[in-house]
Amino acid sequence: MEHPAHWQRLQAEFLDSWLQWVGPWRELPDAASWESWEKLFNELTGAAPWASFGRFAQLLAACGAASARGRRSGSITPALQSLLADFIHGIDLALLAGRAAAPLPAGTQWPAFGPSREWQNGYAALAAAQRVEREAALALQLAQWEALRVGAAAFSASLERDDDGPPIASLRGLYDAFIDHLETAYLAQARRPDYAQAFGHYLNASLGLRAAVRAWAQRTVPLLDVPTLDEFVALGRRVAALEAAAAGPSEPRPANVTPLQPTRQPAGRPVSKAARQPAGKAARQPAGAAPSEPAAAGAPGSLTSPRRQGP
Amino acid sequence: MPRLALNWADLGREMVAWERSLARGLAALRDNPPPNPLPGGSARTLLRQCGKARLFRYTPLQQDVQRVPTLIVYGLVNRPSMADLQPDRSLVRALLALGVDVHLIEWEDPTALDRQRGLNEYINHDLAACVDWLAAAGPINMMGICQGGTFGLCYAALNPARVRNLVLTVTPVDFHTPEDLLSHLLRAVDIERLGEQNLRGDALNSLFLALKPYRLLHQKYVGLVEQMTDPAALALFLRMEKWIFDSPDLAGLALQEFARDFYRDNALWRGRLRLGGQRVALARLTMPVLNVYARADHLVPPASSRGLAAKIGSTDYQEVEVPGGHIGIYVGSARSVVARSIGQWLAQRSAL
Repeated sequence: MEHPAHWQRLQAEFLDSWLQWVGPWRELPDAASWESWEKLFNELTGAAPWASFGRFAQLLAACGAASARGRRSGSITPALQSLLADFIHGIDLALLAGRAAAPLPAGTQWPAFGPSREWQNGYAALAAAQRVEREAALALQLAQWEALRVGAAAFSASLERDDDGPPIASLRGLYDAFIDHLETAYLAQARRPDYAQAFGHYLNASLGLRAAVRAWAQRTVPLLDVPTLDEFVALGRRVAALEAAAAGPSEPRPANVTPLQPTRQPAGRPVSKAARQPAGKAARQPAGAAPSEPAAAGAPGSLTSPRRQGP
Repeated sequence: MPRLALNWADLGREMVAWERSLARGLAALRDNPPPNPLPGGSARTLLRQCGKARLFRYTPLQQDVQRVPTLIVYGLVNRPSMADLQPDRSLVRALLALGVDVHLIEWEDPTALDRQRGLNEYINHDLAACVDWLAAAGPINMMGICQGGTFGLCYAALNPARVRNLVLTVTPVDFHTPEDLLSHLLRAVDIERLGEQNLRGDALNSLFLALKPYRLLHQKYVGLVEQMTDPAALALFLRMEKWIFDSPDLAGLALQEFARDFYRDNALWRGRLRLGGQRVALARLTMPVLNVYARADHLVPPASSRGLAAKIGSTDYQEVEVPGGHIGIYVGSARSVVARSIGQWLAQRSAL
């Protein structure tokens, strides 16, 4: 097929938008913040999640333009299958490159020497955790790309079978059918034991990297006269112990129940007195009707551990 | 009829229309940004703080309120605002309208101090303390949501005299059903390492996104473009988006125990779960039980919830299958069915 000049760019962007599906949205901002949305729209228009649909449409339109110039027939199916063949070829190249990628450098294997040997060891541990995480991420990504390839191929094949689902009469319907096939292929892949292994290995490696970063930070922050997390935790436990001691022996055990005032007055008729009472009493009264007496701070039967058992 | 009933001209027109829709939507967002924060949520009063649990009572909407209070128990994953998203999409509000005396347990986010906080503290201490206070005048109704339903099952099995009626919604019971992709993906995870630190909420989000990546990371946002110029639809989308991604961190030990005992060992289902040294036996659930599950739930497959029927000791057990997904049953079109089913079921068993 004759392609327009910007075909390769469109094709590359389209491929990239699917290969990187775990990419830009991992750093999703607070969705309820307008500023973050505006920033997102301004900066990531080309990588926004709906861009995959836009690129899908642009590619098809480019196919249509090429067909018109080539005076070919008006059917979209062969053009779309040609597009998908290119797409699958792109995935194959990505898979080849990923599988052929040289292992990441293992870092220093020799023992640390000299007065900075503990730092050398710490850095080596961090670098090793980074390497393990990157390798696990690549292995998982390759498994995901394989599923993407299977899904795209199944979608392409389905276009030739008239009985494979309802007729597709819109661009959006075409896109949705594409998604359906990708999800089906992904689900089949994800249910395989080797995918679970890759997924678990990646999660384990991520946890390992986080622990290594934390250990490195624990080692580093004292140089800046900043307390470490361990010190904060120890301080917090000390404060909790002092609070428990200050509460005195009259405080029931465990001291985990604290009477509080209402945080906000609800709209409509107030129920604050009822709210301070065990709801078993309050519930017998209609909305807004104040019970005759407030509950004591510690209601009967509360605050004991282990819990009393039923029959 | 060929599968693809679309021609180039129609495709071009739809493409142009979609681009215009996107431009209009972005302009609408620019000119009329939704308020931040989005208002919503029913009026409620904080009653007690029990450890990490905050006990709320929602302001009744009816004069005639059911005598037995109903306590909604939410899990540690995500936040319970999903049950009260906005007035026209609120399970809480619908229950209030039916005369249910709705209470809720909301968990405080764990801090670094809570890394060693386990399920025993959450269930046998904090949840139990809230129930003790609420049940001073007699046993209560308990309604669990998702993981909160599993917590409710554990609590009710250990304290059957405290729970008059038990309602479960999209609650996993059997964690090893073949359809359970989440359980499958967790098989190779190093459980011991999970407890080394609190798990960040965004890590958990990534796990959930990995269950349906193309729908959740691509298709959903294409649908958003079609809704951008509708303020009500946009506000709902943003509320949902905030709820989905506003996941609290999980206390390391509690996560480790849940992953090990429930997902890996399926101990609740097998009758081997122990909490605080006591065995959690589902056969001790002799109170009436209503089990609501979603037909298209990809997080808690129906079979996982329905497995409860064979394990409990109750003779008053009822299931309600609701069309929709894990969240859709609370905010989608099926929500009225859910609220009506629960409200009527409770009313029949909470009289006197």
